[in-house]
Parts: sequence; structure tokens; C-alpha cells
Amino acid sequence: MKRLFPAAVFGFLLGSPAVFAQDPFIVFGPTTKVVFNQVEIDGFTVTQAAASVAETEADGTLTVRRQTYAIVPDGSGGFTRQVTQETTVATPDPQNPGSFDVETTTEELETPVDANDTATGATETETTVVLEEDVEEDNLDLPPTTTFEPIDENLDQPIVVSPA
Amino acid sequence: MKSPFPLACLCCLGSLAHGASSLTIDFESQSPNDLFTGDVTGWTQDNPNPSAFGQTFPLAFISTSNYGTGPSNVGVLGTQFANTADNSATTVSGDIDSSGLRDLPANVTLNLAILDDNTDQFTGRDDFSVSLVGSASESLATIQFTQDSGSSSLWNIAVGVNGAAPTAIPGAFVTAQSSYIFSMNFGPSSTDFLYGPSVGASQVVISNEASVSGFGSSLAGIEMTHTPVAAAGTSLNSLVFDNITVSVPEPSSLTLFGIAVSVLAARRRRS
Repeated sequence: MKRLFPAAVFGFLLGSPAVFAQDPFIVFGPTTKVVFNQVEIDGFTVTQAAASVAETEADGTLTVRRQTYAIVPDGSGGFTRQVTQETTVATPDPQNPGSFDVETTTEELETPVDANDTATGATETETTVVLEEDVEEDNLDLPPTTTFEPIDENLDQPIVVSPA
Repeated sequence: MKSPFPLACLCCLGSLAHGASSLTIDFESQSPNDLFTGDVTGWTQDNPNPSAFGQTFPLAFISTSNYGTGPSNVGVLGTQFANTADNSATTVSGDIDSSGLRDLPANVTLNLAILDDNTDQFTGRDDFSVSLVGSASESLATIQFTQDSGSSSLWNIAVGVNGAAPTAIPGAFVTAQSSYIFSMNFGPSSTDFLYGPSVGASQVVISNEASVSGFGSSLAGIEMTHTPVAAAGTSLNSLVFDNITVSVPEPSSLTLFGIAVSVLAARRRRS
């Protein structure tokens, strides 16, 4: 069962501190890749960056953090930095093994910026929370991560033969 | 009567003729995480590194790797941390414009490896190439690595000279996570491409191609290129390069060699 808590419930958090002044939503370490794509937003083709990381706690709780970022022209010579921070927490239901309660919190932050991505106004934040109960493990549909296994710096010695 | 020109002098001239200047780029003066957009001395990068979340994510950088002789600094170019949103190619260019090292004939060797984990979720794979360029930015010789359509861990080798599209060499390939040494030997009648494991076994010939146009002109730089083939953001593979060595016979040695050959020819005519 999906329950949606619209923005009206949580309201708009105006004037939040600039997103990058806070603790980073994702810490970009040596095993995290950022995926850059060209997407269309508000009629403009812009570059969107996305990254997601996952962690599993000892009790089986899964947490996936996904963040996107784009600078979008505002149509009047300025720009808007659009950042989405989505946290999905899947908690095992002790009464129903194999199923999870899933809470997805999405924060959409919009900040007016100049061409150098320097904030020129306050950040507006819209928060949405979606709750799903009794989700079977096979149906979790968690966002894919963009992390990878550490790269072994020790290279193999190949066997090379003369080309045919 | 024998020529008064002592044979020992000819031997001396001959041995001097083997002298050569050489230049090695091994990145050991750099630090891990240095960027090719300004940190790495003598190198440039044509695409800017993409930025997001208040940070910059590199397309090329200095890291450490072990080609079989211990960890050392290496250059890395590819999609480990980021990619170009429009899937455009990225080239890093190194300067070989040092005094006395510009002229052909030259022998160029370098260590190369392609990093790719074919078990991760980034299933796309891209192409890479290495090119030697002349002082007019003309392409002298190119080694190209093209993903193999039948194996997720192989890149096929193609080679070319004088700016021509590289020709695939059947049976010549590299395996991901493996360390190689490649050689390009420029001669008056051919350009020879060789490769082998970075340590141990000797190199084998990939192909003997035509000599470069204007043989005897200038070698000015080396370019490493990452050419995206997979959809943007779906690959995580890199070209690793190190120990770029350029050897050029010294002009004075060539002159001495010419004198020695002339004297020997004169002795034969007289005898």
C-alpha cells in the first residue's frame, strides 16, 4: 500500500541554507561514479548529474541515497540549480519475514544561481514522503547504485602471442 | 699497403653511433589525483572535467598502478569517476618537444593497460587510442583499442600511420586488467609496431607499416584518447599509461656513423 504525503503536508522550506554548505548528502569517495547525461528540463537541454549509494545495516535495513543535479536556464537570463535528494529506507518487517516497509523521502531544492553556479537567492525546498508497507523483497525496486568495487592496482602479466 | 686509417678508429666511430638521446615520462614527479587539466606538467586535456554538487569529477588524472615492478604513478583516462554528458571524446596530450628529442627516427615505448570490471553494473565499454603527432599536429602513428564484440574483457588492436584510419590486426588484442608494453619503431622503410607483457617475455610484432611521411621530420607529442561508444554514463573503463620513453639517435652520432660507413666503403674500393 502506497501512501503519499504531498508537499502541502510538509510545506515549503524557504530560505534553507545553501545545499552545499550542509553535510554532503553523498560523500563522493574513490568508488563512487557520477553519471552525466543530457536531459530536457523546462524545454532546455541541460546536463544532469546523478549518483547513488547504498548501505545495509546489521538488522537488514537497506538505505539508498540518490542525488541529481542540474543547472537550468530560468528563461530570463539567469539560472536555477535543481537538486534532488532521494532517500529510500527499506526496513524488514519482523512480523512478516521477506517483506519490507519502504519509506522514500524526496527533497527537491531549487536555488537561483549565476552562470558560475554561485547562489544569487535563497533555496526553496519541497519535501515529499512516500510510504509503502509489506513490500516483497523481489518488488523493492530500489534505485541502482553508481558505486563500484575498488580497482586493484596490481595488473596481470598477459601471455602475448604473435598475431595470426 | 693497408690504409693508415686504423681499424680501431672505425670501431670507435661505430660504437659512438649507437649513442642516443632519450626522454621518459613516468609521472613520478606528480601526485595521485593530480589532474591533466593543469596539474600534470607538459600535458593538456581538451575537454573540461564535468562539475556537479559543488565538486569537479575528473576524466583524466594521476593514480597509482603496478605494471609488475612495484606501484608507481600512472596516467588514467576514462569513465571511472565521470563521463562527458554529450559522449564526446576526450584527449590528453603530452609534450615531447624537448631539445634534441624531436627528430625522427625515434623509438617510442610505453606501458598501457585497460581497466574494466566486467562484473559490475556498468556494462558499456568504450574505445581508446594512442597517437604520436608531429610538429604540425599531424598524426604520425596510432594504436587503437576497439572493444571486442564477442568478449567483455578484450579490446582488439588496430594500427595506422600518416593519419590513415587504423587497420585492425587479426589476433592482436589486449585483455582488461593486464599490463603491456608497446613499441613504435620509426625507420626509413617501415614503421614497426610491437607489444608484449610489461615484464618478462619479449615483444612480438603487431604489424610492419609504411614509414611515416617526411621521415626525418619532427616528433612533437603523444595523445591518449578516450572515445565513448557506450551510452553516456553506462561504462566504467579507463586507459592507464606510464613510462613513455622516446629514444632518438643523436645527430652527432648519426654523423659519426655516416663517416664510419664512408671510410669503410673507401677502404673496400681501394682493396
